[in-house]
Amino acid sequence: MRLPPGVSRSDFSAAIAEFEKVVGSQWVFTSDEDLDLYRDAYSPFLNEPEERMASAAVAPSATEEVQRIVRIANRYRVPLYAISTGKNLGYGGSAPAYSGCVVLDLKRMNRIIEVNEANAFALLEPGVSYFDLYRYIQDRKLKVWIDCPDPGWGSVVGNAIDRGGGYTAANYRNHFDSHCGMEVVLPSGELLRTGMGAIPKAETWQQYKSGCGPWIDGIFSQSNYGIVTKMGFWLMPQPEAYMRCTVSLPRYRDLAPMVETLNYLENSRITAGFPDIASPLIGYPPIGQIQLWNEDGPPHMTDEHRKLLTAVDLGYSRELEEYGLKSQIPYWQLWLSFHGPMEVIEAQWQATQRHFARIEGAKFNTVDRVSVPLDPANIEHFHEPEFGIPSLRAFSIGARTPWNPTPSKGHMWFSPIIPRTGAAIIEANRVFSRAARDLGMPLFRSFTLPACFWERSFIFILATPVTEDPETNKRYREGFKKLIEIGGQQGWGEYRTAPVFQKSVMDVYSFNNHALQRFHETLKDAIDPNGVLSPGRYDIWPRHLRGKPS
Amino acid sequence: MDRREFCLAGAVMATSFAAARGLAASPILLDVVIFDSRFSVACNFGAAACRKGQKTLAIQGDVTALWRDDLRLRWATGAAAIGGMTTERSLFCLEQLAKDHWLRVKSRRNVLLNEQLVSWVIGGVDA
Repeated sequence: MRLPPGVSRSDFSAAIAEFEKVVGSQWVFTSDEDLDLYRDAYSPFLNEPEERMASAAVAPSATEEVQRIVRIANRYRVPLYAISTGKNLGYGGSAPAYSGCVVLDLKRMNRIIEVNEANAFALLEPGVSYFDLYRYIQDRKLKVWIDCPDPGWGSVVGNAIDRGGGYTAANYRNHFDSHCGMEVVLPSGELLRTGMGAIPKAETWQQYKSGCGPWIDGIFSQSNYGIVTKMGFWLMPQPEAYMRCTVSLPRYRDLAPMVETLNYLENSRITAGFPDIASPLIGYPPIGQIQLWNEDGPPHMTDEHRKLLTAVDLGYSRELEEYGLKSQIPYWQLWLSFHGPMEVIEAQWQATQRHFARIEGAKFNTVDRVSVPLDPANIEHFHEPEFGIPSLRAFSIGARTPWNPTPSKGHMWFSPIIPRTGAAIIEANRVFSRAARDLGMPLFRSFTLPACFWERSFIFILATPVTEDPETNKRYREGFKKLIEIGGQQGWGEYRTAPVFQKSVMDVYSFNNHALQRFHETLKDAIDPNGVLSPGRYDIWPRHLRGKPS
Repeated sequence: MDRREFCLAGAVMATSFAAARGLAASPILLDVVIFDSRFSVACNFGAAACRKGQKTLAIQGDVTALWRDDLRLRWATGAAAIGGMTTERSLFCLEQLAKDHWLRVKSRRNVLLNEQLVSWVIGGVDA
């Protein structure tokens, strides 16, 4: 039997026996074969002694069982690590941040408590996956969309708590922002509801977020202050139509006005669909086309074009730009999507074109103009998540194809937030490409474009491969930490990261001698004095483990 | 392609059934055999399984439809062992989905005739 650090065999055995009384022995897992299921499939410590491992797992089916388990954990000082479905691959998976924790696996709590079509919201337990919710809505022919990440096999609650993002309209893409109301089991075992849920009999729990007084929902995301057992989400009314268009711009210098114009249009909600920045001239695809590029190969490129690309600096050379102008290959291409009644989105697209037309040489194209729901026979032509349809196709990104002959064994996402300006894109490429080259990291090898999941900032989401070679993985881990530090020196910080890197990331958030970190610890001490809940998650350690290696 | 069509197609395929014989020899009773129909070796594998009376299902890399229309329902009603010949990436997806039902990869073999492919069995701890 694996033991949590600092817990005696007799205490752990007693705790396990009590867990079994709560959930039934078939839902408590202690064998190596079962616990292997909780390893992080993309662990940066793949097959190394430092890989984070669970000592046991327990899978309750109801909130009341979670409360009882937490109370038992307090009694025996057994650390728990709560997961929803553990599918956040690249950000830690189902493995605990602190080796030896008992994984509190909530995937059996998979009830869809309500989907309200008239008010467009859902109330869910943490074991509900995007596939589950999508199927529930389709089976009942409800006219609401979900917003799902890529791939869509994870937990709706878990992804929101981890602050993930999706691909539909702006006010739904940020999954934490689109939540409304939580039920939380505190580390004491007490049950709490946030927002209007704190009023018994309230019918507005999923309609008004903050209630009255301090709005505390944020402290239960990327943290270890409570276990979310129910969570509300605002859903998008099914649009009547969808239109996808491109704005193509010919010159390198157009990047800055392109971003400025996009910001104005997005912040005014003239365009609200997922914006996707590409560079046909540099050969950088939009996110929505990566799947097709991987399956069918990238667009044809002449030898002259390819040769010119070897001599660019930060994505630019005068010769490349001239080649693009001569060959009518845009330097930048912005993919925009619109959802709504056709007459409305046509008008939005008209206004969008008028604003971009101020940039000399801008060209416009309507790529798709379809009624919703889509004909299922045509769905494969689209990036499904942009229609709120969960899919696993993204995993062919890592598959072996003629264009990807040596797929990796996994990846660690390097995902810094940078300002939403063209200048910041270029500066981030300058800083990170130099650093990555010096560190031997396989990132920023060519000019890299950010993603636009969030409305007000850019984010780079870059995969650092996990290999089968421990020495390479070690080099990549160290390089990854160095990139975090270098980004921090520029004022850029990760939005989310795997446990291995959570200390490095949180160290960057250092204003006023790490006042934020100290506040996190003050909260931890007050809320979880025994330190039983997810110790180390986002570098928030209980007092007795602070400063010790994890 | 449904099972009937598949069996008819399989009857005229070249014979390279070593891996399928391996599955048949496995002590694990398989509910369904998955194969990637983009690869002839995998088609042969599926054909051999079909001839032995096993239910077969074809994929083309992506396992979304397989999961949505079959495995999700199959596994929700109780643990069921499955086998197959697919790319490693398809197996990876199935492995992650199987974890939701406390199922795991019980065996995995590289396919000598096509290095992109693996043959495998997923089952429960006691399977």
